[in-house]
Amino acid sequence: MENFTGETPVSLVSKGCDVMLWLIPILPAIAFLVISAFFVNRLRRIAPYILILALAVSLLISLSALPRAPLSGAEEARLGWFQADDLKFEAGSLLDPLSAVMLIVVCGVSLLIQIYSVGYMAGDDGYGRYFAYMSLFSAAMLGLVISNNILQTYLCWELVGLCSYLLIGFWYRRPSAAAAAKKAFVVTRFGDTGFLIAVFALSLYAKEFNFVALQQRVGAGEFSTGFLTVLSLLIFCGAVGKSAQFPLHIWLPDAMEGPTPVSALIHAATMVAAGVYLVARTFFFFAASPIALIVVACIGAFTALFAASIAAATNDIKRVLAYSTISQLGYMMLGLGAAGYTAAVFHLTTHAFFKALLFLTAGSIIHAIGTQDMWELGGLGKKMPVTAMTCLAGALALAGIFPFSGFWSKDEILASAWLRASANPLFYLLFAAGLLSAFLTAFYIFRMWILCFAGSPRTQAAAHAHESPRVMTYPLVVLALLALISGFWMKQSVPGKGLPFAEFIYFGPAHEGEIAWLMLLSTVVAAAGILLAYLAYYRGSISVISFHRAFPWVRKGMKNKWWVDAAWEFFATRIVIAGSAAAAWFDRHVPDGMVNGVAWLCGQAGLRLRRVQTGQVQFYALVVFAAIVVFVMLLRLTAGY
Amino acid sequence: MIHSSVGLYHYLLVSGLLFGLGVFGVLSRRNAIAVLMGVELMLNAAGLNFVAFWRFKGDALDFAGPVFALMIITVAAAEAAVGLAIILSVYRRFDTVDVDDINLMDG
Amino acid sequence: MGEQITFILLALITLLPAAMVVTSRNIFHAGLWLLPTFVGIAGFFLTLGAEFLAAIQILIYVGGIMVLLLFAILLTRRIGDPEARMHNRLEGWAFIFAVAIAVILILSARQQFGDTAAPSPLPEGTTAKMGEALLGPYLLPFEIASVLLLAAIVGAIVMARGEGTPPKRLPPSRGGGKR
Repeated sequence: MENFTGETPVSLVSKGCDVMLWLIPILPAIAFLVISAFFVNRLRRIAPYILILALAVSLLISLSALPRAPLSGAEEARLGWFQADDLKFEAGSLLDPLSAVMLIVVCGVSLLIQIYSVGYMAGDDGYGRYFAYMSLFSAAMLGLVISNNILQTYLCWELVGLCSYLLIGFWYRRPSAAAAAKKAFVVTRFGDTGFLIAVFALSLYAKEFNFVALQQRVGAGEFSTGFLTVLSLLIFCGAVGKSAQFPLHIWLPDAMEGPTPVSALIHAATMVAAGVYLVARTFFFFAASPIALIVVACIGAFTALFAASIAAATNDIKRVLAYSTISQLGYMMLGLGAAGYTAAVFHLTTHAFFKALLFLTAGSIIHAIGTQDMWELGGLGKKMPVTAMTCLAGALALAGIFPFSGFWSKDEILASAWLRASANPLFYLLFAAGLLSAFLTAFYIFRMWILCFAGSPRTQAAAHAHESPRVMTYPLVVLALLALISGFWMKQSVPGKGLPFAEFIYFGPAHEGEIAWLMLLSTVVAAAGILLAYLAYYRGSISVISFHRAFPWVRKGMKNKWWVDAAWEFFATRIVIAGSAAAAWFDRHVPDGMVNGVAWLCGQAGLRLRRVQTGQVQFYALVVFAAIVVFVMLLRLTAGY
Repeated sequence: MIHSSVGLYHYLLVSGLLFGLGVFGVLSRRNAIAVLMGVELMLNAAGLNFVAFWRFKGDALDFAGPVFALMIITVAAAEAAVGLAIILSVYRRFDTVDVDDINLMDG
Repeated sequence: MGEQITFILLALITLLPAAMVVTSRNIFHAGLWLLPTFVGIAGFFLTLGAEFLAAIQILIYVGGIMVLLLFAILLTRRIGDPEARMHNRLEGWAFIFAVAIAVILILSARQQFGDTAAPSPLPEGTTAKMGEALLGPYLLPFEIASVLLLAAIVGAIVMARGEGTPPKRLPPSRGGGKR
């Protein structure tokens, strides 16, 4: 295995650690093979521990890698695969601040969720299969994060999508689950096509896949702005699909058909974050193209607001969180588009913690009571105190209340938008959208919390609820702690580095600093949202029903998810299928027709020409004389003798 | 038709017509012997052609024309003999000399 | 003047019977119509100055070949069959192409040789000269012709002898023809 490290001097310890870096995705991959081979059926009780062991080791390696991450440049290790002309196909690992942080997040959250799954999935027939898929997913996700070239990223990207399909449709006998899995795969396919075209474009025009090399070439001004704009937008297509941004967000709410830990891990903390991660990884493309950044920011802001509005009207606990995820990912995109690289990545990490937490608490409720409809819950705060408290922590983090993690990261994003607005007034509008989304976010999450945990139970099942087993509640507590302190902690001093987050992960010139009045404003907005939820759902002072009577279209819109799904369905069934029918007709009649026509022609020719062989000599003699006549005529007409 | 005196062209005219008649006979008659008659007509026309050309063109002292016509007559005789022998054999086998009826092929 | 009349007469007695040969319904009559045709050709040979050839023509063609054909007709006649069908189904096309061939030949002759007038002068005693030619420059064809005749005789005898197999009935003709 070769090792190219460029500027950073390599010590013997580093060399050894490079091998270890490779192990991070390899260990879960080995776990996948081992579990699939031996532990799917009879010994399936042991399956989760293999994965947990693999993830624990990977986590330790990731943690040890953090201090080593170079502040500028990156540490790479490469394994050549093959070379075609000038284009090198390789597998490699890239260690820089971004990947170091992401590795820890993925490994850590994964590990906690797998521990939780031991309790949640207990008794399920597919217990072994579940952990096999989960290990494949972990391997792919880590491979994606650690990748040093865009081709490897794409490969892992697709693999992650596959795992998502397998896990959404985990309970495959349920038709809705199978449909949801299919929908997820097909919709993300739309986005992946754009990503693939970007990979092709790079292979054709840049003849380079490696991120570090590409960054250097972009910095040297080798590519035109137009090319970079198109490239960025194509890459962003992939991100729109994977991170469920408008208009490709429709698969994520349906993906809640999968088991709740799956939703927590894949559809909250890691896979959907891959889109944001991809944009961050290839940010040097985007940074060179103002248009691409604006597109990213606009789609992000719009999605944030759009999804938040739907979340406020949803009754299914997991769907609220799904739309919340979509909305928060929109925030991250807004951050990236506003050139707030630091802010977006920061929010990515904090969101992973508190969203996973929220999903796991929802899972706790589902596991205990068996329903996902919030109107069948209520009063669980007394029966499930640990779940209630940890969920409250998550809710506060999501709403962005000081001093929880969400406050810091969301704030940074809004600050980036505001600061960018001085260069581009459009960002004032985006800032306002972000602020409004913050309000709605606080509202819907506390609506959820109040309906679930506060008040009195609304059904018998809720009245007889009990707390979840410890194997499930311990991860909740750990995540809650992280949700509380990670923001503050990382902002001030990244562990192992002793640097504030902003000086650890950044792009271009370092970030300026906070804006005091903004912190105040965002807190006020969040508090207002919480207050509204309290008044509407706890006290009942504000009647929700009369609101809907006054603005009926709002309810209709929210209930119908603003008709986006209907639009896609129309597109798919009418337009696409009509196009397919036309293409099929063409295929049957034109190419097939030509081939069949040739065959028919041969048959006809044979049929006719067969008559020449009469067997009668006089006929043959006639042909001889006829030929003589014809030749003479021809000669006469052409040469004239 | 005849302008001044009888020239080469007139002989060729006769031989051409005779040849055409022979072709018609060969191609369209059903009786095998009638086909042979058509062949004889064609051969005669050719012989006439040779002698006419010998007389009007070329050296009258070089007897190529008549010699060739003689050869044609000889070959015609041989051919008639053998051909009729074949026809007799066929008649004995199939009990007919109708060329369309002497057909063992299918289709 | 006499020359032209002779020519026209000879042409008529050559061509009209020839037409009868190929269109006669009765095959025996067709064979008989060959006689004036051959005689006419012999006449042409005379006007062209090949006396020996004229004699040979009559001897061989009329005396040999025509007689042979007539004998063959008699030997292969089916008793009691009025021979309804005369021409096969190619009659139309045969006529067309026969006419075409004739037209081509005539037109080409006209174009090429329409202006030829005087024939070359003849030497005295063409028969003797012909004999000298046959045994001189044209000896080889003469000898080969003999061999050819020998082969023909032998072959004809072999085939005409027969093999003794009974005649076989054929299925009805599918060739079609004029009824």
